[in-house]
Amino acid sequence: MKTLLDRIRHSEFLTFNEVLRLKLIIVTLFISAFVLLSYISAPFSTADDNTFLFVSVAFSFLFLLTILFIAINSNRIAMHLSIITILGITFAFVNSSNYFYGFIMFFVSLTVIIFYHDIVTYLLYGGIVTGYGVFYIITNGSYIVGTNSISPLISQDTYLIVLIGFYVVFLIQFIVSDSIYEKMNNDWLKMSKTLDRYQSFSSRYLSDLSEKNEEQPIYESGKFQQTVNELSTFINEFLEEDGSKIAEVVEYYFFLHSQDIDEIIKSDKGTTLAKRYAKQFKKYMLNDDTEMSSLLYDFATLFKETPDYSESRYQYHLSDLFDDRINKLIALAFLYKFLKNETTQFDKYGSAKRVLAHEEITELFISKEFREFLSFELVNFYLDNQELFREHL
Amino acid sequence: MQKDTQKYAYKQLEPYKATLELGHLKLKTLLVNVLTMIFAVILVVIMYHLRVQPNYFYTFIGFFIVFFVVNFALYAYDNDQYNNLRIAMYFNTIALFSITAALIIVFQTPSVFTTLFLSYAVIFIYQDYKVMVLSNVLVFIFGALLVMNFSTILDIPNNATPQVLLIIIFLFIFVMLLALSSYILIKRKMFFYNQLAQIKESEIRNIDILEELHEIVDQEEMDVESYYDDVEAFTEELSKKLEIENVFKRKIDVLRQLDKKSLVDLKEEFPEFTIEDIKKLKLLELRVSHKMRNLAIKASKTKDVEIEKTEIFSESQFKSFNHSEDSMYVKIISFVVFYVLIKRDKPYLKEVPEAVIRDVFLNSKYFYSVNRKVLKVYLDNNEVFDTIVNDILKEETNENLT
Repeated sequence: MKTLLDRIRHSEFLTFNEVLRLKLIIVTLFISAFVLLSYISAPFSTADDNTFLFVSVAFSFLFLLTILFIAINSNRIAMHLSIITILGITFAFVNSSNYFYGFIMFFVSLTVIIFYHDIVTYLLYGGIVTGYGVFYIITNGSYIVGTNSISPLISQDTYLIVLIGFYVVFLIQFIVSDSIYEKMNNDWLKMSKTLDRYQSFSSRYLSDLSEKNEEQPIYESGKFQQTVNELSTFINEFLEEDGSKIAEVVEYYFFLHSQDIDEIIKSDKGTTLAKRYAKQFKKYMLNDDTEMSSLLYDFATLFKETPDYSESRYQYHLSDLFDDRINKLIALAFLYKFLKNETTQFDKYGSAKRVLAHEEITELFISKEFREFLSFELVNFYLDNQELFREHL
Repeated sequence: MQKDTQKYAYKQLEPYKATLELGHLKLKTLLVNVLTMIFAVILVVIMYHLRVQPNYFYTFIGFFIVFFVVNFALYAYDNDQYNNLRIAMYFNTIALFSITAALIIVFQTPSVFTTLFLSYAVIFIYQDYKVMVLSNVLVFIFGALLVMNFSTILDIPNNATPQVLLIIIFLFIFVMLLALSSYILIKRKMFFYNQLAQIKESEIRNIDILEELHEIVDQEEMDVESYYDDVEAFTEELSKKLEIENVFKRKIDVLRQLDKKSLVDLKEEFPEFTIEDIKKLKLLELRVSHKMRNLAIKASKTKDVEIEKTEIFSESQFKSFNHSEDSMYVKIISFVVFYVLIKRDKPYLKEVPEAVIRDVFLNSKYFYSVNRKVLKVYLDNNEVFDTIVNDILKEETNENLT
């Protein structure tokens, strides 16, 4: 139970599949309570004994099947089975009694479906539950009209409005929250890729600097290799009896820097272990743009002196930054001149020494990506006056 | 291991997260109001048809009028809108459940009792921790108290079975499941806000690193004066072409002097501009770390950055020394290589003192980036680590750095 609670508390760090598994475990615990409740409620049931026996066995079978699929990590199938189980319990409850709690079961099964937070699943199963609920109220609604009710018809309509309203409001909630997350997801991914691009330019500048100063690459330094070796062995001594076993792997890590690592991974030669290590080390190589260099830049950002947050700090669209048209045009001119005169692109040799040509800038300005910076109005202004831009900037 | 993971978080994160949340909060407030309006209209129509006593009828109409007036006022008041909308959120939660409870007490029928679930659904839209707790407590307490104290609420003809306990069990399950669902969703939402805010700030800081390195390699700063000269010539020609007065020149003159004079001096020299105008012009400055420079660099790097429809933000996107698929040796070696590298002077990061490195690993997101066992060995023995690095690596004082 402690592990379960810990996983719920740290659910934001789980993958989607792990979150689904976590939800399945929670639902399964709740369904267990319902299966138990269905046995307890048996004396109140209006159904005959055979029906009750059949339903109980069916629930138990579905329930066990769900647990089996969770155990083998087929979480999507287990999710469908758990929903089918709760739908079965709901329909059995509703049909075997006239009681108000039978109707409440529609909300409980909708709740279970909502819990998975999957819009297609909600549309399908939620639609079935709501549809059946509507049918139930139309045909049997009179059984659950309260004694205090002024108008049985309006009572039934109230049930209908609440059930359909509940389904629709959650559907709206799903659509809103999915669209918000999708936008945040795409923003994050785009930013992440752009960040990789900045870092690859930074790495290029570092390597140019290193070449210019005729420096030995760090991974070729004997002292650096020795330090890594000693520290790795030191850590490993706390984890393994023979801490020096790691030394061979450290040596292999540095050896990989002189090899084509992709060739090693693809090659039919070499041991499986060597290939496995090569694959795992690829992201930590020091002679390429890797996760290691990215983590180093990221670490360096912690120590940068920066101004406090301001509204314009993450705004890049000229229309968001400036209300004044003159300011926007000056900014557009600066932007054009920067792109045309500064070395911002990799050349064919991989050096960051290329500038953009006028035609490339025009292509960039009219591209979809540039809507993040320029309005159509500014792009049209540029297109109408591009000869002036080309001539003077 | 005591830790404070916020200690090294970028200082811009919290205010930006509030900005991000404000946009969503506005949308959610509107949605809650629209849905409440729809249900209010339905309720009024039903009450009219049932010829409910006028004092009840007008009281409920009054409730809804107060509800919408408060929401309108809090939404429209522009000063500190984030906190206003948060107040509106708590107000709406309490108000909606209070109206629902009043309805149940007035009508005392099982069908009206189910409106509790509807109110819950409307409030669920907010996806906020405090509202989640509040709405779950309210739905459970109101539901339980109402069925216990107004026994006739659930009275159904020809049905003598006591249902109070079962309704409370149902309420408990309903509340528990939706609270957990909400909790998981809110956790992910906050995580997303955090990651997005972090990467936005990280972008600016990475641009700074990029430009600093660029200037080191080129051994010269960007010729900002040539920008002013060329843009001035361009705007002169542009003004002639458009047959207008050159309205750009004075602004370019201000720009030339922005980093040389104070705002007050500039205001005196250019009386036609307000302090606010001059502050706005600061966004056009081209020096390193300034807005226009960052914008231009970002613009130069955005070409062909595309997102596949199937790509999702997931754990696999995170960079760390603790990937689940990696062997323990790889986790150790990658961490050690990183550690040794940060112990060395680099063009973009001067040597970080050992005490600071340890503090960062303990009190930042890096705490989660390193395997827990490996990190424990380091945190318990960081002085040994420091000594080994100093003994071996620092000997090679003349060796150049990368």
